[in-house]
Amino acid sequence: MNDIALDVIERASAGDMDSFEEIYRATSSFVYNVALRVTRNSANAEEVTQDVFMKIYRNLTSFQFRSTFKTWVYRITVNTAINHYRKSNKEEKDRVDYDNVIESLPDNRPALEGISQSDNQARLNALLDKLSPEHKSCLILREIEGLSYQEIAGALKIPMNTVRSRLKRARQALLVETKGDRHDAV
Amino acid sequence: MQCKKIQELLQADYLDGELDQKDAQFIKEHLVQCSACSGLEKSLQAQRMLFKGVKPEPVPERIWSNIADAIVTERLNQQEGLTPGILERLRDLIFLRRPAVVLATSLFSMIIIFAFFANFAIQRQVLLSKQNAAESIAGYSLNNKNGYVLYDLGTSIEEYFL
Repeated sequence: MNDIALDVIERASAGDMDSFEEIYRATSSFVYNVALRVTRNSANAEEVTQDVFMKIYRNLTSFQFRSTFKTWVYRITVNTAINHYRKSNKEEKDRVDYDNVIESLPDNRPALEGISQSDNQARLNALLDKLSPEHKSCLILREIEGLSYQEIAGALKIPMNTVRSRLKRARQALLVETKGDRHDAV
Repeated sequence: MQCKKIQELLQADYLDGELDQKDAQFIKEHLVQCSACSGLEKSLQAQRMLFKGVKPEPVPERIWSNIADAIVTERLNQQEGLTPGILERLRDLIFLRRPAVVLATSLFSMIIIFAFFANFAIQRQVLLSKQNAAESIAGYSLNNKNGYVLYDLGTSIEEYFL
C-alpha cells in the first residue's frame, strides 16, 4: 500500500468526497484482505472494511501526522478486525495454547513438502484459525502484506521484540499444526 | 552460536531478512553442517509457501456504495441535528439540570433577599427610634453657667439609667 499524498488527505478531511474515494481506492484492498484473513469470512470482512473507512472519515480532521497515514490505516484496520473477530467469536477455548505447543515442539521438525497449491487458501485459513487474533494479525501483516518489523510494530503499537516473539510463536504453532495434519493424513 | 539461538533466529529475523549480513552468513554456513537446523529452515520455507500462494481478493464494489451512502446519511443527520442542538444547549443554560447548582443558586438568592429585607427593617427601626427620641427630648441642666445642654437619648437603656 502506497502512502497517500498530503493534499489528498487535507481535501478529504475538508469534506471532499472525491479525495476520500481516492483514499479508499488506494487502501481498500489492504483493509479488506487483512479483515478477510482475520475475521475468516467475506461478510465480516465487508463489515470491518466499512467500519474502518467510517472511522477514517470521522477522524481525518484529527489526524495529526504523528505517524504516516499508511501506519494509521494499518492500525485502525487491525484493531477493528480483531475487535470484530472477538465479538463474533466468543469461545476461545479451541485456540492453541502456545506455551504448550512450544514445549511439545521437537527439535527436528519434518518439512512441509508436497502441499498442493490448489488447496493452499483453504488450508491456510484453517491454520490461521488456530492462532490468536494478535498472532494471526502479526503473521498476516508480515507474510501476506509484506510489512517490515518496524511497520508492524507501528501498526500494532507494540515493541519490535514483541513483533519478533509473536511471529516466532505463530510460526511454531503452525509447524505443530501442519505436523499434526500430516500425521492425521497418514 | 548455539543451535537453540540459531533456531530462534531462523523463525523470525533470518526468515524475514531482518538479520544483518554477517549473522545471516554465519547461519547459512551453520545450516550446511547442522541437519536439525536445516530441517527447521526447510519446514519454515515450506510454511512460507502457503502464504506465497495467497492472492489478494478483489474488494466488492458494494462496499464503497455502502460507505458513500453512510457518509451522506451522516452529513444529513449532522445538518438536521444542528438547530435542535443549539436549542438544547440554550435550554440547558436557562434550565439548569444540575441539582447542586440549582440548590446553591436558590440559597444565594434567598440570602440576598433576606439581607435586603433585614436591612430595610433595621433602617426603618432606626428612623422610628430617632423620631421617638426627638419627641422625648429632655433638657438637663448639667452646668448652670452654660444653661441647658440637650442630650439625645437615642436608646431606651440610656433613658432607664437616667
